[in-house]
Formats: sequence, structure tokens, C-alpha cells
Amino acid sequence: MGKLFDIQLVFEYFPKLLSRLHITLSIVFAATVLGVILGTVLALFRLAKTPILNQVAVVYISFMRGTPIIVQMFIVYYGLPLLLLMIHLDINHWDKLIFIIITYGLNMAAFMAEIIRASIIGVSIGQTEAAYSVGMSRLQAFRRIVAPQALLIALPSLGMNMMGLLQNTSIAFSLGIIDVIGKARVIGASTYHTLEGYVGAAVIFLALCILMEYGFTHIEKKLKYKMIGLI
Amino acid sequence: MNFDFHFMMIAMKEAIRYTPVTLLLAFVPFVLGILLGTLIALVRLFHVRILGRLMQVYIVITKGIPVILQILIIYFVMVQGFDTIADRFHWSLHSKDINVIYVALTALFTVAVANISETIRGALMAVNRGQYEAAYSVGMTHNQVLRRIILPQALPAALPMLCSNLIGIMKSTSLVFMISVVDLMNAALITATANYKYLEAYVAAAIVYWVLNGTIEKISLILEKRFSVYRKEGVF
Amino acid sequence: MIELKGVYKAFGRHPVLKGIGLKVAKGEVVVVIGPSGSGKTTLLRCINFLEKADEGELTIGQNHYHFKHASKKDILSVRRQTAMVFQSYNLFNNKTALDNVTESLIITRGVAKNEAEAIGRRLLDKVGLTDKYDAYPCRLSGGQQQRVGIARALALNPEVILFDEPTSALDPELVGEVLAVIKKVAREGITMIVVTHELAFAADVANHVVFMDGGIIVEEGTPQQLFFHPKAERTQQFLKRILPEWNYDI
Repeated sequence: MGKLFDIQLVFEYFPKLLSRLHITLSIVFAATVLGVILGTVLALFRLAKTPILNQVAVVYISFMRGTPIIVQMFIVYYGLPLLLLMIHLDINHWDKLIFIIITYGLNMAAFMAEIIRASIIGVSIGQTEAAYSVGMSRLQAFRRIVAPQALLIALPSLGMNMMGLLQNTSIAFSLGIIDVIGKARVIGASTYHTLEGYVGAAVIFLALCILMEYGFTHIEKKLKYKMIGLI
Repeated sequence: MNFDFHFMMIAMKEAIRYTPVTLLLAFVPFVLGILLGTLIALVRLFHVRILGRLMQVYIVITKGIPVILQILIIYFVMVQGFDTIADRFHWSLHSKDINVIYVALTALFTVAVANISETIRGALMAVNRGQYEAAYSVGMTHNQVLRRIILPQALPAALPMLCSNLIGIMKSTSLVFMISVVDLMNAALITATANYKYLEAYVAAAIVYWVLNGTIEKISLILEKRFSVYRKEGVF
Repeated sequence: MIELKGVYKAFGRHPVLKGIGLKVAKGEVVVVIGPSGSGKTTLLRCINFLEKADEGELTIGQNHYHFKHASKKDILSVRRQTAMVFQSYNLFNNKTALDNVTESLIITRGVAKNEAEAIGRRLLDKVGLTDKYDAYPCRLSGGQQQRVGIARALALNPEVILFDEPTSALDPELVGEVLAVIKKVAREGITMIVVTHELAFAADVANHVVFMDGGIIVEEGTPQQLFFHPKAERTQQFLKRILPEWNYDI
């Protein structure tokens, strides 16, 4: 087996790993979009206390937050085709990546729903009252006064969740997706130098994470300045 | 739809049988994490030279690398490293003699410490400055201030976040089947190897995890209510 | 003209307003005083439908409303004829001082942007904030924020402005500047209902003073009558507690 760890190999593998980065990033991007849309809907059910739908949302969110994402991934992968077969929709031939994106999107939605709900509640009631007092309607008060401030409150949590999502994509390989980690395993299987591949992948994730954190802090600062004039 | 409920129940029974392993994997890193995490939080909060910096770097790295990678890397280092050393010193012991559960515990602990210390640091910082000043002003020492005034306020405030940390660790334990630890997840999956009824096995595992984490969340809510009542009574 | 009749409001089983009747003529300044918990603030909030009164009627100019049966359209129409200045200012945190004033003009009155901004600047000048057009609320002192709040209320050119303890949240040294602005506005003949604890201010600007306690109007009259010749015992007690020195002076 030779040396335990060869730093030279990390550099050698690095470009190969980077060549699969787009898979990881597209999962994060697609799942975030899906999650924000679905999450908003769920949050509205919760905020409006829509009968039944509110309860469904509560159970859904609890399940998504209470079970490991790897379990969710396989349940979607094995279960969704079965479920859709009942309405005569055959999705067995779909690309595995689609199942991954659905899983992460569904998972993200649960977390987003709670973030959106909390940040809307977090805007003080005085703001709504002031909006009403100058004659705005409910919709106007929400759109022009509450929503922009809620966005500001939600941003840090959104950032944290996207970073969590990025980390979560690391198990997509177990469904056979060749993303950064999948590639590291492929290399490992053919060269018996798995550790170097993993370390390379770890460096990539770490760098992405730091970049994302930096990006979000930057956006938050910008937005804070633009929206409430805080430097 | 052919979902085999009967088989799901069999898988669930297996999962429950191995739930103690999962609980062990979650609680040991959690409890040790609180101990070491508090220390790290204090070291960082009081800007202990070098060590504070070092801990900051450690936390950034641990939080930036996916748990599964940390598990796999630690597994390789521990197992291969052990073999290399054993070869050199001609030990009769071999890596396959190490119980993989220690590898899993080490990896989960590394991750847990980082997250928990961040939680506790946040709670410590949330304690009003005036509390420190008042405590110092009546002549308490550094240690007394921490032990008698700050930590008793910070830890209850940190409870909900700590519970969410625990849930996070609990979910992470599901990954250790990849280094062939037999926990509740792996137990459920093993039952399915003969008949490929993986969906049933995963659903069974999901339900057990859901119940476990649901219980933690309930306890967290109860504790939070308890403490917020105290806080209100304190003010008025 | 504003008229309230038989306003009744309970929070759960606890009645806060037990049949309030009040008439405010155009251009009049009515000051409502009374101990905390007497229902003063609730009364104001009911007029603006921030609380929904259980019973009673409201007349603003030619329009009549029943609190109990008010539709969404009624509520919006009442709010567009009234304006409120809050105890905790409640400026829109995400808008500059100028935008706070113009926002409602533009989106609820359909005033053109440049026209609204002209109005906004004029009003901010009037409350003495010429140099703060573009400042966000978090950059303003409490007194400055409250003056923006007053400008925001004025912008709507409402039938009546409701002041809900406008100086209670302010540091003592900032109270003066806000009261001065309110006084200035009062002299211009704008109808106002002011809930306040500043009795000297009340004596100075009010045409009419109302003393509330326990959810009812105990006594009302001109400042002269109410402050110097109170009839009801409860009024006397309240004034004695709050202004013991007046007994000696006059």
C-alpha cells in the first residue's frame, strides 16, 4: 500500500476533484430555489393558521428536521417512484441527480419555512401598526414594510442553512452521484489512495464554506446599509 | 403500491434493538462536547493568546468540512495509521481488532465539540456586560464571576440551542454505517439485504429517528418554558 | 368633526372602556389625561382601529361607522382620515426620514413621487429636520424620530391626528423639542386628540381636557375648569397626586 499519506497526490487529485464541483454547486443552487419557494408556502400556511394545511406543515417540518437527510434521500429515491406510479407516472428512468435535488429541496423547504415564519414574526408589531395608521392595506403593509425587514432578519439564517446544505450534499455520493466526494472515492477505488482524495475534497468544502460565509456577511452588510442605513 | 408494512415492522424491531448504540454515539460526544466546548468557549471569549486563535482555527475547519468526510478521514487515519505503526513496531495487534465504534465516537466528538462551543460562546456573549461589571464591582474573582454569575445565566439560555445541537449529532450518527458500525440505521438496512426491501428499512429507521428527535425537541420546549418563566419572574 | 358614542371594549373578561362618548370640533385640541390603565391609549387605538371596539359608533365628518360592524373598507377609510403618532415612534426602519413621510402619500394616496417629496421636505423642515432627509431611523435620536413621526402624520392631511403619549419614551431633555413641534402644529388649527402625562403642556395647548379613569370619562372641560376647579373627587385626587405644588400656587 506504500505511504500512508502523500501530500503530492493531494495536489495531483485536486484538479480532478474540482472538475466535479459544478455538480455540488448545482445541487445547492437548485435545492435552495426549490426550498425557498416551498418554504414560503409552508410558512404562509403556518402564519395564516390555515386549518389542516397548518397541521400538515407542522408534521412535515418536524419529520424533515427530525430525521437524517441520508434517510430522506433514500426514501425519496425508492419511495417517490412508487408513489407516483399510483397516478401512473413512471419516473424510474429519471436521472439520480433529480432525486437528489428533490430531496435537498424538500429538506431545505422545512428549514426555510421556520426561518421565514420566525423573521416575519420578528418584525415588531409596531411597524405593522404604523403602516395601518397611515392607511396602508394588509398587502401593502406586508410588501412595503414587513417583508423587506423580515428579509434582513432572515438573511443570516438563510446563509447558515445554505452552508448546511452545502455540507449535506456530501452524502449524495452514496446514491452514486459523482460530485466532488464521489470523484474522490472513484480515484480512491482505482489507486488505493483514498485519504488524499478525501483531504482534497475537505479542502474544497472548507474553502467554499469560508467563501460563502464571507459572501453572506458582505451581502448582509450591504443590505443593512441599503435598507436601514446601518453601517 | 407495494409497500410491505409487515417487513417494515421487522426492520423497525431491529432498529429499535440497536437504538442504544445510536444513543451512545449521540450522548457521549454530546456530554463530553459540553465539557470541552465550555472550556473552548471561555478560552476564546477571554482571548487566551495562541490557544484562543488555535481553537478558532479548529472550529472554522471542523465546521467547514462535511461530517461524512471527517468520519471517513478519521477512519482512514486511525485504521491505516494504526497498521503502519503496528508494522513498524512489530505489534501483533491489527487495525481490525479496533472496534470501529471508537472511530465513530472520535469523529462525532470532534464535530460536536466545535458546534457546542459555538453555542456556549453565543450564550456567554449574550449575558449582559453589566452582569460582569456588577460581579467584579462586589469584589469577585475571575473564577467566581464565571462560576457564580455568568455560567448559571448562560447555560439555561443555551439549552434550546444545545438541544438542537444534540439533534444534529443524532442525525449525524446515521452516517457511521459507512464505516460499518452497526447502529439503528445499519441494523434496519442489514435486514433488507436479503430481499432488497430498502424503502421499508429506511422508513423504519426514519420513524425511529423521528421519535428520538421529537422527544428531544419536546424536552427542549418544556425546559425553555420553565426557564422563560423564571426570567419573567426575575424582572417583575 | 369627530364624535364617539358608547365606545365599549373589553380584553377577555376585563372591560377597559365602559361606554365612552366624546365630541371633538374641527380645529380643536383635546387632551386626554388619567392614571395608567385608565383606557386612554386603548381609546385612541380604537379610533384608528388598531384595536377593535366591541360596541359604539364613530363619526368623522359626514361618515358614520359602527365599530362592531365595520367592514375592511370602513377600517381603511377611517385610517385614511386619521393619523397616529406612536409612543414608541414606530418609524419604518427600512425607510429614510423622507421616505417615512412620503411612503403613505405615494402608495395610499397616489401622489406623484416628486410632489410627495416636496411635501415631505416641507414637513420635515417644519419639524426642524432639514438636515435629516436621508437619515434612517436608527441614526436619529428619539426626539428626532418622534418629529419625523409627526411629519408622517401631517403628510396625510388627516381629519384628526391621534397622539399616543408622544413623549413618554423620550429622555427628559428631548421632551421639549417634541412638545414644541406639537404645539406649533396645534396652533395651525389641526384637529388633535392627545394622550399625555405632560399636564403643563396640556394646560397650554388644549381647548378641552378630558379626565379618564377606570374606563369612563370622569370629567371634562376647559383646562381652566378641569385643572383649577375640578369637581369630581377622583379628578382632585389625581391632580393632587401628580401636581401637589399647584395647591399652593393658586
